[in-house]
Parts: sequence; structure tokens; C-alpha cells
Amino acid sequence: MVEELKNLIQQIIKAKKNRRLYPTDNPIYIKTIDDVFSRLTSLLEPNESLEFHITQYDIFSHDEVIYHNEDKYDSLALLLFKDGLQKLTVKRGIPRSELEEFIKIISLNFEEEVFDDDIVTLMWEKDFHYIETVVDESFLVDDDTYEETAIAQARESANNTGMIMKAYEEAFEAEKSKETHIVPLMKDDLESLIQEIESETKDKTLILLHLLFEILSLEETDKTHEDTAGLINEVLTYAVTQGNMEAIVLALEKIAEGNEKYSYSDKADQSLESIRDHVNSRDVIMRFGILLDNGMKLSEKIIHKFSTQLDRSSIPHFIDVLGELETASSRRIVIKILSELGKRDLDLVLKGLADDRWYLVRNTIHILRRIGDRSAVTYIRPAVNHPDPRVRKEAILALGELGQGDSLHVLKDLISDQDESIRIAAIRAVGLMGIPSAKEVILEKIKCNAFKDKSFTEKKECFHALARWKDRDIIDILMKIVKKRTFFNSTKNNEIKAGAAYCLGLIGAKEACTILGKLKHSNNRLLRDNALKAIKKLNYAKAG
Amino acid sequence: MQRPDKTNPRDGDHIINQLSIVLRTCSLHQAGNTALLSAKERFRRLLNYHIERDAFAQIDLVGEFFYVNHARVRHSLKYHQNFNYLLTEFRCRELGMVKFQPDLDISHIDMFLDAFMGAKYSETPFDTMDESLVNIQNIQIGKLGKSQGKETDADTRMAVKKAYFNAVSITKGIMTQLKAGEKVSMIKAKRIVKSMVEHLISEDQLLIQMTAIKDYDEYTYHHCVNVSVLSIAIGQKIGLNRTALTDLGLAALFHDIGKTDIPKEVLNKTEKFNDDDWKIMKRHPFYGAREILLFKGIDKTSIQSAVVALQHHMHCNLSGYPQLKEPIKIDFMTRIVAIADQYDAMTSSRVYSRIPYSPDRVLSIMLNNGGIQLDPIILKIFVNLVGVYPIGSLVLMDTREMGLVYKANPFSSSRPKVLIVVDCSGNRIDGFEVDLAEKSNSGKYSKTIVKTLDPNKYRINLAEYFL
Repeated sequence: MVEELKNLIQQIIKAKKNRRLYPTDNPIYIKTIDDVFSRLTSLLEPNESLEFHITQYDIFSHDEVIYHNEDKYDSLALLLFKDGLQKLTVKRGIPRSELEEFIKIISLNFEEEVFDDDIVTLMWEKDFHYIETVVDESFLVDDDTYEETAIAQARESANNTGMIMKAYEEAFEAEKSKETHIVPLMKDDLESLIQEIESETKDKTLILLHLLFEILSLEETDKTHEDTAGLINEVLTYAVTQGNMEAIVLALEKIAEGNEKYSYSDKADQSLESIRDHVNSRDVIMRFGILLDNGMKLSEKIIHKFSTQLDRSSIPHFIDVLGELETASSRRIVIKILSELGKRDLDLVLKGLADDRWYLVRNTIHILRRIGDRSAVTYIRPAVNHPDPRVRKEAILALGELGQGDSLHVLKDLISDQDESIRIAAIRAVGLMGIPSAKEVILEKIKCNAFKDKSFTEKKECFHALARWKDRDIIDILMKIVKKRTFFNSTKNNEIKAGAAYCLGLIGAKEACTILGKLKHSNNRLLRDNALKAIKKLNYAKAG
Repeated sequence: MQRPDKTNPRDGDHIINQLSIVLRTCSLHQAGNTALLSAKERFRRLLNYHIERDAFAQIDLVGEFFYVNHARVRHSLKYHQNFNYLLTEFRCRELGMVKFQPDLDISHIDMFLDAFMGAKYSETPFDTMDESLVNIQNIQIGKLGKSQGKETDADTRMAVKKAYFNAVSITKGIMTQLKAGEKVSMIKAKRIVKSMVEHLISEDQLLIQMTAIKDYDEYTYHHCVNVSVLSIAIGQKIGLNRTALTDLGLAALFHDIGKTDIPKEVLNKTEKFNDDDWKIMKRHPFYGAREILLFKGIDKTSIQSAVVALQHHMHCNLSGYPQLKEPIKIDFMTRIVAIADQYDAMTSSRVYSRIPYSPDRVLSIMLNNGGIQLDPIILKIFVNLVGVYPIGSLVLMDTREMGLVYKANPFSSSRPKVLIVVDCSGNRIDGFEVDLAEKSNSGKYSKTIVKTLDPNKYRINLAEYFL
């Protein structure tokens, strides 16, 4: 039995080590726990319970030392002893989950991390049913004599002052007592209390912030303003670390409401400024970024409120964060915020274009596209020559969206670029411009001899761009292309016809129905598929 | 059906609730009734979960708490009425324990129910029930008050006393350290609150008794601990879990910590406060919140404690301080602490208010304020907890004996346990405990309170009797 108990303790120590080394779903860890559990269960089979007495360096069971270790950092006995644990009793029937919770607690790194609770409190909060403890609390108190002194003093006071007999004499003359009537707890009382408990949020950050802002409006001295603002800032830092963006939004709203509601003094106004600066600070924005990368979910409403309440001074920090973020979803949120925030200071956003990192430049251009301020075009234009094609493409699209005629010459050159992806982006951008001269650029490309040698993707992009105009002359040109009979039904010609058919569908040219109906029986699959798509579009438009 | 998680303390709730349902249904319906059959079947299944695991299912009634397989069942508001019903039914049959063993089927449950129902009007209900069950091997019952394996009263009293004074000593230490600008560890504070929660869960009256003694020099520290004890006791009645009780206890312990920042000359002023004094005094909620957030660091617990510190003088109708420009509902835990705070403060002699009110007078003042300053529902719970004659009340009985209320009676708020200090002949005696709920052979109550006196007027020192 003693040997088995010794082995059990060793196995618990092994499980404790493995808990630190491996995640809980790791097979090695699971095996160790299984082993401790099976040893414990078999030891408990003939016994109602197992008792372990703990001293500074030893663990005893059945009056025998089953564990001894004097190492300050490694001793299981010392780990338990230092928090006042004197005895552990494990009862028969202990479930694996309870054992695992126990291992989890003793595996915490109390030496290196700061915890609010010690082992005893952590175990107690778990409310174990099969592990019982006997704990010594006396070491918590610095003054051993406190109890004795307080009692002696209270008793001494009793000896000097009690007038019990006088009370007794006067009692008969006193009025009869009026009984306080206790109203019993009614069903409605209980229900409303239950509802309240269930709806209670554990996190009271919003309430605290609300109260602190009230205090800020009440206080009169500089010192208390500073103190209150300092506390609010600390609470906000905590809130952002916890992903509580509602708290940040609340603070920003309170600052924005300012004097209308709270009639802050000038001094309080200065404190509000310091809170605003804090929320817009690099520290807070960086913490926000980390949370985003950790998968924090934010509602559209909160993102919108957050971005509309932020100050433009936060733009550079958000751009820095954008450069650091690791996940696409978090980048999307920051882009959304910067697209809103950037409207207030385009110059600060433009600084992102000067960054060495291609992706940050690309994302900055994307933000500028979303902001939609045409004055950014001048700054975007050089990016069409950026060494990275991904940046070039984003810049080309931005020029298409934001640029007017003055950027067309740039795009026209790019339509003949050596890189097909650039050519395609340029075609799309020209289409996005929507001006008559842009239409001519596309038509020119289609009419060009070299057009038939382009890939179908590029051809289709040209027709897609052309569909934007829906002009009579465009329909005529397209009809001519689809009706054109070629001696050799070459693949290249069919690709042009397929693109044109697709375009007729996009434009909604009803007169093309007959010819498209014929083309849907073509032997060429590409032509057949695109004619069919166009017919569907036309029918859909008719039905709609 | 999924087997319930055995580490879930709510298991016990279900069994107690279900037995209560079975008994209520049984008193309304005939044996073959479908509702009764299904209630019994569910009860049998719940018992069998425990029997499968531990080879028995045992319900104990100790004090006002039920234990299922030796694990105390948390008082749950959800099942509040059913719990109270079962408590009354067990008590009127003097039933303290019932143990179900393997091979339990519906016929055994029926026999138990027959014995239980049949004993209700017997003069010796427990014996009647015991006789009825004598041939049933797998059901055993035990008489109320004969709990086994419990610490003796003296041991418990000593442990409770120790926990209380440790709490005061640690609170004093923390406040002194804070005043000196030293770093403070929360571990000790949490340990001590944990210890108080534990004592209140197992025997709430003893620790509440400790709060009734007001004759210590260091009012501030005792007040903090008293408010913590009373708040935890209310929270325990409401059915908060251990973690919530610990958070509540901590928040209550530190609710007045802001007073460490109030200048001594104001805090210890013996005359009435003037406007300037009040202005300073009214800052202590903010100072408290600040201290808590600074010394503990910001987390959910410190935020909760800071909210309580900030709001504990606001009152439910927001008529207190600090005054708010934008109304906000007073936080749930604050409403608990506010009641405990008001009760302890008014029953204590403070520097600026030398003469405290008697406990029963304080209760009546508080009840008048219910719904205005204090939460009316939580106040009802509090009054139920401390009774019409709270611990420490000086009372005269119809037997011409005088005594001090010693323990509240959860089932009859006007019939607490009393320490007789003057006998019927007018002789001062050392004090022996009587239960006012006890009846004589004629079925009448042996003693009844007829008058209450203000113990403060006669400077009655409870320490002499309670410590």
C-alpha cells in the first residue's frame, strides 16, 4: 500500500509537469492523467478515502512518509504547505474531471506568474466534492495576539459598564414591544430576483466608467480631476485588453457629449482631453490590434461607433497596426475603421503609401479607394509603377474609381503592359471610369488585331468593361461580332464571340435573343456556355 | 438519459426539489394519478444516480440546511418555496436523515411516502414513521438533531471566532498598509473572505452573532468585517454561488476603504459634521474606488468592488451621494452591501454618533426606508435572515425572565434562541440558552417575548455573553 501511494504521488508530480508542457488534448498528457486516475481508483477500491498529511517537506499517509523533497521550487509538499494546507482527503468515487481540476491547480506557475488566489482558494472555489482539505489559516495573520487583545478589551469594557439589573427593573414599566411585521417573500419577489441575478453581467466595467465620468463632473480640484481621469484611463486600458470595445465607445461618447450633459469645468475639460488622448493612443490601438488578431468578434454597430468617435490622431497608429496584423479578418476591420477615420485627415492616411511593406501600401490604396476622395489620385498615381504587381493592381483600380480623364493616359499605357494581370486590372479600371474617352480606349483594344491572341480572361474583361456603357453603337458592334460568320471556326474567334455574347447579356440587349438562341447550340463549349448565361440574364431582366 | 455531472453542486438541488414535489403532489392526488407517478419516477431516478455512484442516497437536515450524500445543498432561489416546504415537513416529523440504498424501486418509494404522510398528525411522528419502515431494508431514517461526524459546537464556535478576528486583523493590516502607501496582497483578503463564506455556508448564525458585538476599540475594521459577513449571509440566502459570494464578501470588506484617505480630524470628529466636513466625508466612495483599483489592479473583481465602494451611499432612489446627473440603477451587489452597511452602522456606536439604535429599532427604520433607500426585496431577505428580534436584542419574556437574542430562527422570526441573563425571580444569572420555538406538553409556547429594551441604553456588552 505504501509503495503504491508513493507511486501515486510520483505520478501526480509527472502529471503536474506534463500539464505545464502539453495542451490538455495532448495524448501524452491524457495518458498521464489516465494513469493517475486508474492508480487512485484502484487504491480507493478497498478504502472509503485516502488521507495525505502535509508538512513542510513531507507527505505522510498511514503514518509513513510517502514523499520527501526539500527543493524550494520543486517540492510538492512545500507547494501545498506554504498556503496552509495540512491535510488532503480523497474520497472514493472521485470523477476524472475533479482529479484533472486538482492537477490543473497545482500545475499553475505560482513562482513566475501573479495570481490573486493561492492553491487553497482555487481549490475551494472549485467546490470539490471528493477532495477535502484541512487548512491552517493562522499564518495569514501578522498579529497573533489580535484576537486575544480584542476579546480582553471588549470584556473589560463589559465589566465596567453593564447595567443589566437596571434594565430588568425598568423593563416592566416599558411599553409593550411593537412587533416588526415581516412580509414574506412572494413568488413575484423571487422571480424578479432570479431574473435580476440571471441578467446580471459579471463585468461591471460600463457601470464603473459611467460613475467615474459622473465623478469627473462633480470634482472640483485639479488633483481629483487628474486622479479620476487616470483611473478612467486605466479602466479603459483594461477594457481594451478584455475586448470590451463597448467601454471604449462609451468613454468616447461621454467625451463627445461633454458639456451638454455634464457641464464640466475647464479643468475637467482638460482631463477629458487626456482621456481622449489615451483612447487614441498608440498603446490602446496596438492592444486593439492584438485582440483582433486573437479573433475578437466585433459587431458592425460597434465598429461604426468606434470609428466615428475616434480622433484623427489615431490614424498613424491604426496604419502601424495594419502593417502588423496577421489575419485577413482583422485587417478588414482596421481598413473599415481607417476608411471612416481617414475622411477626417487624408494626409495622415497618405503616409501609408510611403511604407516599405508592399501590403501596407496596397491596403492604404484600398482605404483611399473606400474613402473616395479624388484628391488622393495624385498620390496614388506613382504607385502604378510600384515593384510589386499587387500594389500596382490596387493603384490601377483606384485610378479607375477615383481618377477622371487625367488618369486615362496612364491606364491606356497599362492596357498594353507586359503583365497580363496588370492589363486586366487596367481594363477594369478604364471601365470603372465610365467616361466616353474610356469607352474608346476599350473599343480600340477590341478592334486591334492582337486582341484575338489575348487570353479569354482578358478578352472577357474587355467586354465586361464595355458593358458599362449600354450604348446603341456598342450593341451594334457586339451584334456584329456574334453574327460574324468565320470560315474557320477557330477557338480564338469563338472566344471573342463568347465575350461579346456575355456582354450582350450584361447590357440586356433584347434584340440579341435570337442570335444567342442559336449560339447556345454551338459546338464550341465556351460559346455555348456564355450564350446560355446571356440568355439567362436577359430572361431574368425580362421577368424582373 | 444523460447522467448528470457529479461535480455539479446543483445535483442536490434537484433531489430536494423533487422530493418536495412528490410530497406536495402526494398530498393532493390519489395513488394512481399520472402526475404523482411521474414525479415519483423522476425522484427514484435521481436517487438512483447517487446510489449508482456512492452505493447510497442520503438526505440530511442539519440546522436549516439539507445535505445530499454529505454535500451541502446550496440554497437556490429557484427552488426556494419547495425547499422551505420540505424543511417544514421534515421538522414537523422530527426527521433529520433518510438514507436510500440499492435495489430501490417504486414500491419502496410508495412505502416511504405512506410512512411520511401517515406520521404527520402523530404525537411522536418520528417513531411512527420509524415503525412503519421497520421492515424495509433499503430505507433508513434518523431523528433530527442527531447529525454525525460534525464538529462539536465548541470547536465550531472557536473556529468561527478565529475566522472573524483573523478577518478584522487582516483588514486592519490592509488598511494600515494602504495608508502607508505600501503594496497590498489580495491573497490574504480572499483567503479570509473564503473562510467567512465557508463558515456562513455551514452555520450562518455563529458568524452573524460575532457581528452583534460592538464593543471593540477599532470600529472601522470591525464594521468592514461585519458588513462583509452580513452581505455574504444575504448573498447565501439569495443563492449566490461560492465565487459570487467571495466577490460580494470582498466588495463589502472594502466598501469603506476610502475612509483611509479622509483626514483623521474629520473622521474622528466627535461633534456634528458641518458642511465642509460632509463635503470631505462624501468623497470617501471615490477614494475607495480609487484605492481598490490601484492596490488590487484592474480586473473583474476589483471593478465590482470599486462599483460597490462608489455606490454604497447612493441609495436606491439615488437620493444619497455622490449625486448623479444621469440616473443609473444601483448595482445588485451594492444593494446588498448597502443594507448590511446601514444595519451595522446604525447598531454600532460610531465616533460621530455615540448612541447606537437597538437592533429591532434599526430594522423597523430600515423597513420604513425599504424601496426608497434600500432594495425592498433584498431587505425582506435580510429581515428573514436576522429575524424580528435580531441577535443582540435585549428582551423580556412573559415568564418575567430577561434575555439576549442569541440565534435567529429561520422558521419563526419572532421565536429566536435567547440567552437568559436574569431569571424570573430577578436574579442575574450566567446565561443559559432557551429556544422560544419550543412548546410545553400542553402544546403552548413555553416563553414569548413581550418587550424589547434598548441594550445600548443600559450599556449591555454582548462580548460578555457571546465571546
